[in-house]
Amino acid sequence: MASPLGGDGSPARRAVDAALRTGQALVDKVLPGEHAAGDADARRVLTVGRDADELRAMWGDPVRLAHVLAEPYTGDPSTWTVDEVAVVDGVVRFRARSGQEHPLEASGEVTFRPAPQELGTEVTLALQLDGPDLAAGATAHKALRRAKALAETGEVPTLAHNPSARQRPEGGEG
Amino acid sequence: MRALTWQGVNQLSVETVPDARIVNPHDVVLRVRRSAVCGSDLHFVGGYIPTMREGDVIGHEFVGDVVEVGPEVTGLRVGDRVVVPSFIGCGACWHCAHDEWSLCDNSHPKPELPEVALGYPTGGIYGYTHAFGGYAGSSAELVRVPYAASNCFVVPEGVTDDQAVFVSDAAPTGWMGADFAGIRPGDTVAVWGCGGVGLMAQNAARIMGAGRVIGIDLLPERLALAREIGSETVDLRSVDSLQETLRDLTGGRGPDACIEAVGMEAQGRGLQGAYDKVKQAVRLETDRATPLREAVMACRKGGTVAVIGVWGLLDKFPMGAVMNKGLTLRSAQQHGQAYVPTLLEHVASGALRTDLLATHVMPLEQGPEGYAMFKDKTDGCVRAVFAP
Repeated sequence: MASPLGGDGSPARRAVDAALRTGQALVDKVLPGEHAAGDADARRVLTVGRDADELRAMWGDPVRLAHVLAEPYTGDPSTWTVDEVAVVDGVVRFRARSGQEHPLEASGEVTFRPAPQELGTEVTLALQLDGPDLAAGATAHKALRRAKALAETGEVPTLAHNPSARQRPEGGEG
Repeated sequence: MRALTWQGVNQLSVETVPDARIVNPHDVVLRVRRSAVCGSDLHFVGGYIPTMREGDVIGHEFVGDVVEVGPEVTGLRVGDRVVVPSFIGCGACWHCAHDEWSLCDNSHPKPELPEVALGYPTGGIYGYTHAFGGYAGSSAELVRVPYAASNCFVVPEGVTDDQAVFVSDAAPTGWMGADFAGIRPGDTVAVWGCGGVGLMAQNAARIMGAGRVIGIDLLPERLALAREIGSETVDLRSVDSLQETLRDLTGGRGPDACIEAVGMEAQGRGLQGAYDKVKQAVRLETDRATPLREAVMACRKGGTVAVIGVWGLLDKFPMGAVMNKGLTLRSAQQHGQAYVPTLLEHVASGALRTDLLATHVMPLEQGPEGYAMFKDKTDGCVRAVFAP
């Protein structure tokens, strides 16, 4: 009989191992570390009230693609550079890098399928990022939201030049 | 430009800030004629709703003149006097197309913030925390209005600024509450709160055909205003049991519809009120929910409860009463764009008495004093209105 406090396969050992795995996974989610390109994966989907051809053209345009990539949470204007984008068999694939202080490299794949009830198109972005999982998920989600706004309204909502009694760079967001 | 800013919990000041300007092609800039305080502002002023930042310009209820028009704006010209709903709708998404304007998919610049608390983002609001968009508010000389063609409504000549300003928020919020209540001719409607929104809900219920409207509050000057628009009133200071009072007033049936128009800083009563006050003070919940619970308990079987007060995180909600009495519960932030044209007609005809709300009109420079007066309910203040 194994000791309840130790030994391979004991309940206590399994509990400690599980806790360590959970802790490491949490650290990987939130902290940047020694990540290789494509370390963090995120897949997000959003319905957009436009047809797939129009959306495919938008995501495949490097200027508009760079515009919808943004820093999550801060809402700062896009600083991303699109290095490569191509539409192959209806799927948009791209590589991009951010221009922030600690640059991130990303590769993405955008797929399109009709939404039910004439709601438009379900757009799925699969993003790989050389950063923590949390950043990949947030970046993908923010990009989808901005792209939806751009497709549906012709502009991305912004707080650029937002008046406030704070000192900040010209054109910075509020 | 001069603007009223949030500087910390219960700290407001008027500061010089950069002018509002056109940023996106569908924007206009307004020179603000009137900007009013709102009860919901008190929630972030007092620190109950987070994500304000020092220096934010506040205010979300306003009327003004168009002074600059973005290159892709249609239907508006410099000089138009317009009223603007507090929630920003893009006019293009599924929700805007279905008159659910406060649920707009596209107007929030930071949608990831409300998703944490709400699951999905709302539309953006002017001057009302970064969780609700972070847009600069209207208590300023100038304000930027995004998606202007969908959000600016020209005010008819016969409607004054002090009447029109409340068509931005208090009137459509109250009107929506009455709309949600599903009023049928002759119904009895009870409304918790005789502030700006509660009074507008009562006024709307009358216009929609309610047989009796009962306004509930504890401030005598507000109860007097409710009577002025034709409501019966219940003074909470003079009744032992609101539930028994409402049963007595309705032949034991209960009101057909109950509209809650108070929100998270309600005056509590009894043990439950004390419990809420302590939990809110130590931030274990954000809400003191006495009127919401009362509305659910008082409503007749099979009736409707419309919730138009602003709420955050509360506990001890009587869901069993909702379920077992077969109540319909409806709620939303205001979908003003769906109602403003109708409301302007009712204001112009004299049926909708928005004029009753503007009890204190003052210069913008007196903004902090106006909010203090409004918060402390001094001098019979229902709404302070700033004229920048």
